[in-house]
Amino acid sequence: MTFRGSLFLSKKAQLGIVFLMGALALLAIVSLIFSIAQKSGDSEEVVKAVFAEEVRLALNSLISVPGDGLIQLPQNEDYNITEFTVSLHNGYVEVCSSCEIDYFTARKGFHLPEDYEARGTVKEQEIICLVKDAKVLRLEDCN
Amino acid sequence: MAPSIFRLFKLNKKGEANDANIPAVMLYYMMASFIIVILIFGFASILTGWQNQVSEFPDELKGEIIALRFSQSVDCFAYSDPVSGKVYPGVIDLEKFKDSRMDTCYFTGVDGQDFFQFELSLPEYKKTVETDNNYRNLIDHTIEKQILVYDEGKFVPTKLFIYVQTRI
Repeated sequence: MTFRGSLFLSKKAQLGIVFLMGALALLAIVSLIFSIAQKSGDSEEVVKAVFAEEVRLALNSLISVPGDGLIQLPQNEDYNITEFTVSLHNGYVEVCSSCEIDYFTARKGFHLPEDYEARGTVKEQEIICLVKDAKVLRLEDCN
Repeated sequence: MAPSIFRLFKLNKKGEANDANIPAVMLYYMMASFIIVILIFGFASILTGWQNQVSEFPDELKGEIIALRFSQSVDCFAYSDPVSGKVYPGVIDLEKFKDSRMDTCYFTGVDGQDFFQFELSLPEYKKTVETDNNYRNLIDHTIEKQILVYDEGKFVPTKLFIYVQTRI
Protein backbone atom coordinates (compact mmCIF):
# COMPACT_ATOMS: atom_id res chain seq x y z
CA MET A 1 0.00 0.00 0.00
CA THR A 2 1.53 3.33 -1.00
CA PHE A 3 1.26 6.71 0.73
CA ARG A 4 -1.47 8.64 -1.12
CA GLY A 5 -1.27 12.44 -1.20
CA SER A 6 -2.02 15.31 -3.53
CA LEU A 7 -3.18 14.68 -7.08
CA PHE A 8 -0.62 17.07 -8.53
CA LEU A 9 2.63 16.32 -6.67
CA SER A 10 4.73 13.24 -6.66
CA LYS A 11 5.36 11.52 -3.32
CA LYS A 12 8.98 12.67 -3.41
CA ALA A 13 7.87 16.29 -3.88
CA GLN A 14 5.38 15.99 -1.03
CA LEU A 15 8.05 14.74 1.32
CA GLY A 16 10.36 17.50 0.11
CA ILE A 17 7.70 20.11 0.94
CA VAL A 18 7.23 18.62 4.40
CA PHE A 19 10.96 18.88 5.07
CA LEU A 20 11.10 22.36 3.59
CA MET A 21 8.34 23.43 5.97
CA GLY A 22 10.26 21.84 8.83
CA ALA A 23 13.38 23.73 7.82
CA LEU A 24 11.42 27.00 7.59
CA ALA A 25 9.92 26.38 11.04
CA LEU A 26 13.39 25.74 12.41
CA LEU A 27 14.68 28.92 10.79
CA ALA A 28 11.77 30.87 12.30
CA ILE A 29 12.51 29.44 15.76
CA VAL A 30 16.21 30.22 15.48
CA SER A 31 15.52 33.82 14.38
CA LEU A 32 12.97 34.17 17.21
CA ILE A 33 15.58 33.02 19.74
CA PHE A 34 18.10 35.48 18.32
CA SER A 35 15.64 38.36 18.45
CA ILE A 36 14.75 37.50 22.07
CA ALA A 37 18.45 37.39 22.94
CA GLN A 38 19.04 40.75 21.27
CA LYS A 39 16.06 42.28 23.07
CA SER A 40 17.28 40.93 26.40
CA GLY A 41 20.62 42.66 25.90
CA ASP A 42 19.10 46.09 26.21
CA SER A 43 15.83 45.04 27.72
CA GLU A 44 13.71 47.02 30.10
CA GLU A 45 14.03 44.26 32.68
CA VAL A 46 17.78 44.72 32.98
CA VAL A 47 17.47 48.51 33.21
CA LYS A 48 14.76 48.12 35.86
CA ALA A 49 16.88 45.78 37.97
CA VAL A 50 19.98 47.97 37.62
CA PHE A 51 18.03 51.12 38.45
CA ALA A 52 16.40 49.51 41.50
CA GLU A 53 19.90 48.59 42.70
CA GLU A 54 21.07 52.14 42.04
CA VAL A 55 18.23 53.54 44.17
CA ARG A 56 19.10 51.09 46.94
CA LEU A 57 22.78 52.10 46.88
CA ALA A 58 21.85 55.79 46.89
CA LEU A 59 19.52 55.19 49.81
CA ASN A 60 22.19 53.38 51.81
CA SER A 61 24.60 56.24 51.06
CA LEU A 62 22.07 58.82 52.24
CA ILE A 63 21.51 56.94 55.51
CA SER A 64 25.19 57.42 56.29
CA VAL A 65 25.06 61.17 55.64
CA PRO A 66 24.98 63.15 58.89
CA GLY A 67 22.24 65.73 58.37
CA ASP A 68 20.07 66.16 55.30
CA GLY A 69 20.92 65.33 51.71
CA LEU A 70 19.66 64.90 48.18
CA ILE A 71 20.69 62.56 45.36
CA GLN A 72 19.49 62.88 41.78
CA LEU A 73 18.93 59.65 39.90
CA PRO A 74 19.78 58.06 37.54
CA GLN A 75 23.47 58.89 37.75
CA ASN A 76 23.98 57.13 34.44
CA GLU A 77 22.33 59.38 31.84
CA ASP A 78 22.06 56.52 29.36
CA TYR A 79 19.25 55.03 31.39
CA ASN A 80 15.83 56.03 30.27
CA ILE A 81 13.49 55.74 33.23
CA THR A 82 10.63 57.79 31.80
CA GLU A 83 8.43 54.71 31.49
CA PHE A 84 9.01 53.52 35.04
CA THR A 85 7.17 54.00 38.28
CA VAL A 86 9.56 54.04 41.22
CA SER A 87 8.18 53.54 44.74
CA LEU A 88 9.97 53.63 48.03
CA HIS A 89 8.60 51.69 50.98
CA ASN A 90 9.90 50.92 54.46
CA GLY A 91 12.23 48.07 53.61
CA TYR A 92 12.24 47.91 49.83
CA VAL A 93 12.28 49.85 46.59
CA GLU A 94 10.17 48.89 43.60
CA VAL A 95 10.69 49.76 39.95
CA CYS A 96 7.99 48.77 37.49
CA SER A 97 6.56 49.66 34.11
CA SER A 98 3.47 47.46 34.03
CA CYS A 99 2.98 47.71 37.75
CA GLU A 100 -0.12 45.53 37.89
CA ILE A 101 1.97 42.52 36.85
CA ASP A 102 4.19 41.53 39.74
CA TYR A 103 6.52 39.48 37.52
CA PHE A 104 7.77 42.62 35.76
CA THR A 105 8.59 44.49 38.98
CA ALA A 106 12.19 44.85 40.14
CA ARG A 107 12.30 44.87 43.92
CA LYS A 108 15.33 45.43 46.17
CA GLY A 109 15.32 45.26 49.95
CA PHE A 110 17.19 47.38 52.47
CA HIS A 111 17.31 47.96 56.20
CA LEU A 112 16.72 51.31 57.80
CA PRO A 113 17.97 52.37 61.22
CA GLU A 114 15.30 52.50 63.92
CA ASP A 115 12.79 55.35 63.63
CA TYR A 116 13.70 55.98 59.99
CA GLU A 117 10.99 56.08 57.37
CA ALA A 118 11.13 55.62 53.60
CA ARG A 119 8.29 56.64 51.29
CA GLY A 120 7.29 58.22 48.01
CA THR A 121 6.33 57.28 44.48
CA VAL A 122 7.47 58.92 41.27
CA LYS A 123 5.90 58.12 37.91
CA GLU A 124 7.39 58.54 34.45
CA GLN A 125 10.05 61.18 35.18
CA GLU A 126 13.41 61.66 33.50
CA ILE A 127 15.14 62.44 36.78
CA ILE A 128 14.03 61.59 40.28
CA CYS A 129 15.26 62.92 43.61
CA LEU A 130 15.99 60.91 46.71
CA VAL A 131 15.85 63.25 49.68
CA LYS A 132 16.94 62.73 53.25
CA ASP A 133 15.11 65.02 55.61
CA ALA A 134 16.09 64.19 59.20
CA LYS A 135 14.93 60.57 59.57
CA VAL A 136 12.65 60.53 56.54
CA LEU A 137 13.88 59.31 53.15
CA ARG A 138 11.62 60.54 50.41
CA LEU A 139 11.46 59.85 46.72
CA GLU A 140 10.15 62.83 44.78
CA ASP A 141 9.92 64.56 41.46
CA CYS A 142 12.91 66.92 41.11
CA ASN A 143 10.88 69.69 39.41
CA MET B 1 20.94 16.31 2.66
CA ALA B 2 17.97 14.91 0.70
CA PRO B 3 19.37 11.43 -0.01
CA SER B 4 20.18 10.85 3.65
CA ILE B 5 16.70 11.93 4.67
CA PHE B 6 15.23 9.56 2.11
CA ARG B 7 17.43 6.80 3.48
CA LEU B 8 16.35 7.67 7.01
CA PHE B 9 12.71 7.18 6.13
CA LYS B 10 13.38 4.19 3.87
CA LEU B 11 11.85 5.53 0.70
CA ASN B 12 11.61 3.18 -2.27
CA LYS B 13 13.57 3.61 -5.48
CA LYS B 14 11.00 6.04 -6.85
CA GLY B 15 11.32 8.14 -3.73
CA GLU B 16 7.86 7.16 -2.53
CA ALA B 17 7.03 6.89 1.14
CA ASN B 18 4.76 4.15 2.24
CA ASP B 19 2.36 3.81 5.17
CA ALA B 20 5.03 2.15 7.28
CA ASN B 21 7.16 5.33 7.11
CA ILE B 22 4.49 7.70 8.38
CA PRO B 23 5.09 6.88 12.09
CA ALA B 24 8.81 7.50 11.48
CA VAL B 25 8.04 10.98 10.08
CA MET B 26 5.73 11.69 13.00
CA LEU B 27 8.32 10.41 15.44
CA TYR B 28 10.91 12.70 13.83
CA TYR B 29 8.66 15.75 14.29
CA MET B 30 7.70 14.75 17.84
CA MET B 31 11.36 14.42 18.78
CA ALA B 32 12.22 17.66 17.02
CA SER B 33 9.39 19.50 18.82
CA PHE B 34 10.51 18.06 22.16
CA ILE B 35 14.11 19.12 21.60
CA ILE B 36 13.03 22.59 20.48
CA VAL B 37 10.86 23.04 23.59
CA ILE B 38 13.79 21.98 25.79
CA LEU B 39 16.08 24.38 23.91
CA ILE B 40 13.65 27.27 24.38
CA PHE B 41 13.33 26.63 28.12
CA GLY B 42 17.08 26.24 28.46
CA PHE B 43 17.64 29.44 26.56
CA ALA B 44 15.09 31.28 28.71
CA SER B 45 16.83 30.16 31.89
CA ILE B 46 20.24 31.16 30.50
CA LEU B 47 18.85 34.60 29.64
CA THR B 48 17.35 35.02 33.10
CA GLY B 49 20.67 34.09 34.70
CA TRP B 50 22.50 36.46 32.39
CA GLN B 51 20.08 39.30 33.18
CA ASN B 52 20.62 38.73 36.90
CA GLN B 53 24.35 38.71 36.32
CA VAL B 54 24.47 41.99 34.41
CA SER B 55 22.15 43.74 36.83
CA GLU B 56 24.16 42.62 39.85
CA PHE B 57 26.58 45.03 41.53
CA PRO B 58 29.79 43.78 43.19
CA ASP B 59 29.22 42.59 46.76
CA GLU B 60 32.26 44.56 47.94
CA LEU B 61 30.66 47.81 46.77
CA LYS B 62 27.28 47.00 48.28
CA GLY B 63 28.87 45.96 51.58
CA GLU B 64 31.02 49.07 51.75
CA ILE B 65 28.09 51.40 51.10
CA ILE B 66 25.93 49.78 53.77
CA ALA B 67 28.89 49.81 56.19
CA LEU B 68 29.37 53.56 55.74
CA ARG B 69 26.59 54.21 58.20
CA PHE B 70 28.46 52.55 61.07
CA SER B 71 31.12 55.25 61.28
CA GLN B 72 29.21 58.15 59.68
CA SER B 73 25.72 58.16 61.12
CA VAL B 74 24.84 59.50 64.51
CA ASP B 75 22.09 56.87 64.62
CA CYS B 76 24.80 54.20 64.54
CA PHE B 77 28.19 54.66 66.22
CA ALA B 78 29.32 58.12 65.09
CA TYR B 79 30.15 60.55 67.86
CA SER B 80 28.08 63.70 68.26
CA ASP B 81 28.88 66.61 70.52
CA PRO B 82 26.34 66.56 73.36
CA VAL B 83 26.29 70.37 73.59
CA SER B 84 26.26 71.53 69.96
CA GLY B 85 24.80 68.34 68.50
CA LYS B 86 27.47 68.43 65.79
CA VAL B 87 28.13 65.00 64.29
CA TYR B 88 31.71 63.83 63.72
CA PRO B 89 31.66 61.38 60.79
CA GLY B 90 34.52 58.88 61.03
CA VAL B 91 34.67 59.18 64.81
CA ILE B 92 33.27 56.24 66.75
CA ASP B 93 31.86 56.88 70.18
CA LEU B 94 33.07 54.01 72.34
CA GLU B 95 30.07 54.45 74.61
CA LYS B 96 27.78 53.59 71.69
CA PHE B 97 29.83 50.62 70.51
CA LYS B 98 27.44 47.91 71.71
CA ASP B 99 25.31 45.15 70.16
CA SER B 100 22.15 46.89 71.29
CA ARG B 101 23.17 49.95 69.26
CA MET B 102 23.86 47.75 66.24
CA ASP B 103 20.31 46.42 66.50
CA THR B 104 18.88 49.91 66.14
CA CYS B 105 21.32 50.80 63.35
CA TYR B 106 21.08 47.73 61.14
CA PHE B 107 18.69 44.91 61.96
CA THR B 108 17.73 42.30 59.38
CA GLY B 109 15.43 40.25 61.62
CA VAL B 110 14.22 36.70 61.15
CA ASP B 111 14.07 36.93 57.36
CA GLY B 112 17.55 38.38 57.15
CA GLN B 113 19.50 35.32 56.04
CA ASP B 114 19.85 36.67 52.52
CA PHE B 115 21.03 40.11 53.58
CA PHE B 116 24.48 41.38 54.39
CA GLN B 117 25.62 40.83 57.95
CA PHE B 118 28.50 42.58 59.67
CA GLU B 119 30.91 42.24 62.52
CA LEU B 120 32.75 45.37 63.62
CA SER B 121 35.96 45.04 65.50
CA LEU B 122 38.20 47.54 67.31
CA PRO B 123 41.21 45.30 68.08
CA GLU B 124 43.03 47.92 70.14
CA TYR B 125 40.06 48.14 72.48
CA LYS B 126 39.25 44.39 72.22
CA LYS B 127 35.67 45.26 71.41
CA THR B 128 33.41 43.74 68.78
CA VAL B 129 29.80 44.17 67.84
CA GLU B 130 27.86 42.15 65.32
CA THR B 131 24.54 42.22 63.59
CA ASP B 132 21.62 40.11 64.75
CA ASN B 133 21.37 36.31 64.89
CA ASN B 134 22.02 35.91 61.19
CA TYR B 135 25.74 36.62 61.50
CA ARG B 136 27.48 33.21 61.32
CA ASN B 137 31.09 34.31 61.03
CA LEU B 138 31.13 33.33 57.33
CA ILE B 139 33.32 36.22 56.26
CA ASP B 140 33.29 37.02 52.54
CA HIS B 141 35.42 40.12 52.69
CA THR B 142 36.88 42.57 55.16
CA ILE B 143 36.86 46.36 55.13
CA GLU B 144 39.65 48.09 57.01
CA LYS B 145 39.19 51.72 58.01
CA GLN B 146 41.37 54.26 59.68
CA ILE B 147 39.11 56.04 62.17
CA LEU B 148 39.11 57.97 65.41
CA VAL B 149 37.60 56.63 68.59
CA TYR B 150 36.11 58.99 71.15
CA ASP B 151 37.01 57.52 74.51
CA GLU B 152 36.69 59.38 77.79
CA GLY B 153 37.04 62.82 76.24
CA LYS B 154 39.89 61.92 73.88
CA PHE B 155 40.02 61.30 70.14
CA VAL B 156 42.29 58.32 69.54
CA PRO B 157 43.32 57.17 66.02
CA THR B 158 42.83 53.47 65.48
CA LYS B 159 41.70 50.87 62.97
CA LEU B 160 38.21 49.55 62.52
CA PHE B 161 37.75 46.16 60.86
CA ILE B 162 34.39 45.42 59.29
CA TYR B 163 33.85 41.75 58.46
CA VAL B 164 31.18 41.29 55.83
CA GLN B 165 29.06 38.18 55.42
CA THR B 166 27.15 38.51 52.16
CA ARG B 167 24.90 35.47 52.64
CA ILE B 168 24.56 32.31 54.70
